[in-house]
Amino acid sequence: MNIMIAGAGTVGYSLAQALSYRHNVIVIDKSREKLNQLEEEIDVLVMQGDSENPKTYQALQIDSIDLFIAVTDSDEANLLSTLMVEDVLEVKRKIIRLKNDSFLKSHILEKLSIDYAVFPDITTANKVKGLFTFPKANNVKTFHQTKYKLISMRLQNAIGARYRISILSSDTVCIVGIERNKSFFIPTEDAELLEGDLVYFFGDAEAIEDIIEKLDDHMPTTIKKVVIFGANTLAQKIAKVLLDKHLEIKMIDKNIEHCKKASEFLQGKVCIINTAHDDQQLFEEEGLEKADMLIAAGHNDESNIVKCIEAKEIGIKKVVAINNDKSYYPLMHKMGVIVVRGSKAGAHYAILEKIASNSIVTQRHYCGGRGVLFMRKIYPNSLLIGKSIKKTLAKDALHFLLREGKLLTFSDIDQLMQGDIIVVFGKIEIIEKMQQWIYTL
Amino acid sequence: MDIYALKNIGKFISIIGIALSLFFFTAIIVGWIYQEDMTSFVYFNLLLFGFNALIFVTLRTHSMKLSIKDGILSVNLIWILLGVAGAVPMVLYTQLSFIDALFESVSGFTTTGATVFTDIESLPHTILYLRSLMHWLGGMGIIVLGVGLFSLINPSGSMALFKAESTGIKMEKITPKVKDTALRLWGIYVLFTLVDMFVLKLAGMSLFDALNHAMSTISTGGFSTKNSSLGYYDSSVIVWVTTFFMIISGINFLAHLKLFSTGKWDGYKREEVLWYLGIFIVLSLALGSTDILIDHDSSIHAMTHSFFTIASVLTTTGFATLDYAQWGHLAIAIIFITMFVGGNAGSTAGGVKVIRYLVLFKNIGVQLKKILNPNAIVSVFNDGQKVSSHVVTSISGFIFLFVITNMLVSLYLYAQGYDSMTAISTAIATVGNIGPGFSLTGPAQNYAFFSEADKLVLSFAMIIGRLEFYTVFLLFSRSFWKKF
Repeated sequence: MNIMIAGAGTVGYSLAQALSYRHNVIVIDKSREKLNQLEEEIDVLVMQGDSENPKTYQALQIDSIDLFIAVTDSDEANLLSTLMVEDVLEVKRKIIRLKNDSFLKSHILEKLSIDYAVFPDITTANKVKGLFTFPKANNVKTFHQTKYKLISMRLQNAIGARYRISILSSDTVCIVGIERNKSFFIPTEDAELLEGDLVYFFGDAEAIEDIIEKLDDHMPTTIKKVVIFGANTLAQKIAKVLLDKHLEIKMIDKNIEHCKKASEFLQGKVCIINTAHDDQQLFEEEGLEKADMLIAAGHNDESNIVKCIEAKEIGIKKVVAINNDKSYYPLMHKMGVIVVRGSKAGAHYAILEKIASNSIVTQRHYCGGRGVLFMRKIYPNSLLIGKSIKKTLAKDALHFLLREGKLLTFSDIDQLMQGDIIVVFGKIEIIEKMQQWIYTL
Repeated sequence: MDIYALKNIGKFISIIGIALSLFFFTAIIVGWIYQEDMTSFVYFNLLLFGFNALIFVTLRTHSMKLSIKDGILSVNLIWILLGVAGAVPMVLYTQLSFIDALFESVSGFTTTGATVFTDIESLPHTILYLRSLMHWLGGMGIIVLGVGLFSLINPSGSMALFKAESTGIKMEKITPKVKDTALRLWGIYVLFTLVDMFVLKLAGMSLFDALNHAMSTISTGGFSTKNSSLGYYDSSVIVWVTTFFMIISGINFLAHLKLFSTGKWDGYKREEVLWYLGIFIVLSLALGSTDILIDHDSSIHAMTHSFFTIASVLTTTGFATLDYAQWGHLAIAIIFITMFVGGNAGSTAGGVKVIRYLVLFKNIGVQLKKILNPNAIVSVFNDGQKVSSHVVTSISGFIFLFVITNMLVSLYLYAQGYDSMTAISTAIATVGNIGPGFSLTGPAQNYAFFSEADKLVLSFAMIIGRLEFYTVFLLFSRSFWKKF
């Protein structure tokens, strides 16, 4: 595919890196310096220019591109560039990142024929919200093809007896990944769960909850009091979605402007504290140690991590860090910090997953991008109906067939039926094999 | 050096080795056409192929990701190994010692064109073709070939190598994938060679000579199949055709690529190209005038050979139509200047290259302005784009290394007892990948008289010059080998 990315910031860079392996990528940015760095490190074509200026696109001697991705810092530039690029080139698909969620409710995206818009702040806020439905979970992922969820939990001073994976698995739940000692693997049936493991369950939400309940008596079962560090736009959006849950929320930020804006945005329904002095004192003064949960939603990954560790020290059991740098994932998992993708990482994965997915196959990443899953639904007119699946991906991957709310293996069935969903889980290293397998069934 | 890095390097070198042995098979076909005994070459080539294939098959599952250090080490190793691989057939088929053969082979791959053979015409066709083949492969750059091949197999991480073969000057791309640019460059390269061959054939050369001279011209190498180089043909058509093809081979190949892929000429409307053509014309006219005024040569004859000679030296090819060393001191001085210039960045020519002078002279202008107006904000611009101070520093360093290397090589030769003209000109002729120098290494002479130690030093000088100094000298820095 020929892909054009407008914007060479964090998201643009990481997308270019991920996409350049298999696609022809052109990156446009105003800054020569950013482009120089990009050009040195990644095999892409760079183009200096303004993405809102049609001349930029004219300078490229091509007529059409398959995909245009607008991820500059400005919503207006992103929207405008989707118009400008189409003025000069033939564009098949357009993906855009937007910060302002008021666009979500307008018809502008349809009018500009934008195929997909990512609102990373909202995605992140909803992820945080998902943690309240499953208070003991680390992360919850939902899918549009099925009600089944991918839920992760950490085993900490909770399990008395050792559990074999085969005991926990049933026809509605299976374990599809374990992170142990910073490394991620796909477990075999006879593997055992150990203290400290981060376990990924795939299956019926209630069944998973039952298992989590059995495995963990450490985490609070209900969350009432929440502290949010940061009052920036992302933190505001998180607070906003949490308001539906009838929680007590305190927001803390050093920046007075952020605090004022947050107060306006949340209409005084949240206690917003502006602080300039050191945090330890603040924890005592505000009684923050009584909170059930802390969400560190600052812009800086590192200070979010420090906040979480601090909170853990004073006894807050559930700490969540918003993070954009996936290299910190293993470290944070080890520290018992729950990680939620921030707006940059969120935009990166949302766009990548959108590109790799289509109406038939869905691709999702989990465990900090180290695990990947593909899901393929059998639609009424599928050529696969009536066929059986013989070839599977050896032992590196886990395969299932989802039929009528039950997880089956391929040996259980004779032939595929309408409505079946094929799911495969594996490590990111074999993503290409998996992709080939699921498309060429 | 850990095992992972070794595997990376091993896999990459084996790919080049396999490609090289496949090209060597064409030499066997040539030998077979001319009914020469190919037995030992076939055995050697099968060995070369088998050995590299073995490494490649062993490492086939290893996913290669070359770091900058791996890339630099690989490039250095590849150029040394190429020299060795090219030397073996020459030892097998001629009277050369291994060191002599190594010199000849390095001279071939680096497109220098300095030869140790005293009677070229007596050589078997296989060896004549092999010498041209080495030029041809070395001209576009084994690495560009490698990048192309390598990204077919493994589509990531090839940038380190692209950088390693030519430091300081950025290799531009016109396609998103470096692989596509590399492959298209080879396409243009093959096309030019075929056109040149065809025209030379029409101009009266035999097919074999036309092929060899075309390969040697487009790669700006300089090996000929005749003892008196192009002088043998005594045809002004051949001289002008070769002049034309040398000059276009000295222009950035990306400009040709742009012309062929988009039909637009703007690749040539660059300051570097215009200066290069300007220098070519001015120096040619100067040399021609010297010949006319001092030697009272006929004007057409003088200009034909002057344009040819300047083109040959400027593009670092090293062909000769006559012994220009006999044109007198002023002529020698003009040719000497030409030896320091070189072609364009991104061409097959060697030398310092015009862009570097352009940037440095502009930088001097900037410095002068800065002295006169201390508060002025000034920077170097080239083709309307700002040249970063990092590039200016890197180019200054390049010139410094060029001068130092030339000085050391010429002092070494001088210490061996050769006259100063031989010492100085030979140093530039090898470091700049030109070929012929003056005095003992003049256009009508050869390099056979040097001792084996001299030949090793000169071979090394050619590789240093071909890899543009930094890549080789990095190996001598302590931080390159340090793990931390």
